[in-house]
Amino acid sequence: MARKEPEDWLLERYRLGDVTPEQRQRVDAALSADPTVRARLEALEADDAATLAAHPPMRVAASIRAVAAAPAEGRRAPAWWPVAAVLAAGVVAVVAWPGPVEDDVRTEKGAGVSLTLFKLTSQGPTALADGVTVKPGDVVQPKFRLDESGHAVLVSFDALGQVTVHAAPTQRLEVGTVTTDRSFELDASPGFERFILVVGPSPISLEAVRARVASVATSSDPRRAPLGLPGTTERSFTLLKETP
Amino acid sequence: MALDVEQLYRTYGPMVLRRCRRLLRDEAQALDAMQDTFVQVVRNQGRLDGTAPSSLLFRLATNVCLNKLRTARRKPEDADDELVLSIAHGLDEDARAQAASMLRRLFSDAPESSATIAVLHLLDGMTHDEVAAEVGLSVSGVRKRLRTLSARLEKLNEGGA
Repeated sequence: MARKEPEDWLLERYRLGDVTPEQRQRVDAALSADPTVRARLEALEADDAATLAAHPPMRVAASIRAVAAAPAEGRRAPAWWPVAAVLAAGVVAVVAWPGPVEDDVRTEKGAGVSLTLFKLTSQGPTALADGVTVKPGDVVQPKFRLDESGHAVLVSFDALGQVTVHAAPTQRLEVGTVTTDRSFELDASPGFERFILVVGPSPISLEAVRARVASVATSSDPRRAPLGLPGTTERSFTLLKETP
Repeated sequence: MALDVEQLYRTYGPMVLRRCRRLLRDEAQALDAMQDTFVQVVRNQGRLDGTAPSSLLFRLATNVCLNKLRTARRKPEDADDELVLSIAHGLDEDARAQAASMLRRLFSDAPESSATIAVLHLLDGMTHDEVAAEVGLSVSGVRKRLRTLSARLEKLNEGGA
């Protein structure tokens, strides 16, 4: 039975020079006979360029090396991690990076809730201090810990009020440390990027969090003012942006 | 010699990302899967000698995506998506055991997972011969795996009907 035009996988490998002589002959023949095959090849080339522009090799390679070098324990985030992280102008999701696992869970209610940010470099993760100054292009990843089973929402916003939702799992979370499944490259938006973790025994309305963030972002103290959602505990972590 | 990760990504990254996008239908998940794919290559770089990078990365990305889909709870967007999700979930019984040995298989000559074989044949349109060459099985071995898969998917469909 005669086969139809080259499949996508074959065109990919043809472009990469990873085909058998027979496969090459088949693609060459298709290219001669069918202009749409040429168009498909050109589309792949254009998509290559777009991907490499959006996700530059130097940056991605650094992230890959850092993740590959990370210890095996606690490498992956739980499978429930939300995939619909809402991206905004303030930070740009780039990679997943597994943070180290903390095991010093405290027992006092609320006291053990923590929010930490790590800076990702080719040498591995470095814990950041609240209020530290970072540069545009730095890749950071948040991690939080609950001291008792509950619900959590993690968001951040910048000085322009752009909000990013980092985590809003619908399930109840168990006690322990959670590393988000994504790191973020800080962009050149001015001022700061403030991360706020809200935890509570009941499901937390993301819309309520957003509304409170919008209010705080336009308040007189956007870097420190609490969201103050009833029945919740919150943690805040602010990164100051270095002026380019 | 240390693996040149930047060059590897520059050459194969876009292909891997397209593969992940096609299977996962979600840009954020596809980016995660792409990175996972390269991370696994870096961790196993000592075994890369003599392998065809594009073929290896294609299969590795397929496995990474299938593992992600096994935990996905979403409705298929079209027939291809439905097929991939059926394969991912339909072979769930084997998934845990297969995931544990996935890397060993991919970086050795051991047989590929049934789910990956199914995707290569049913979604990507590879012939039995091509799948066999791709995964290092005999053609009869590929046919046997596909027959087993068909039976499981039929059972799954009957159960869901």
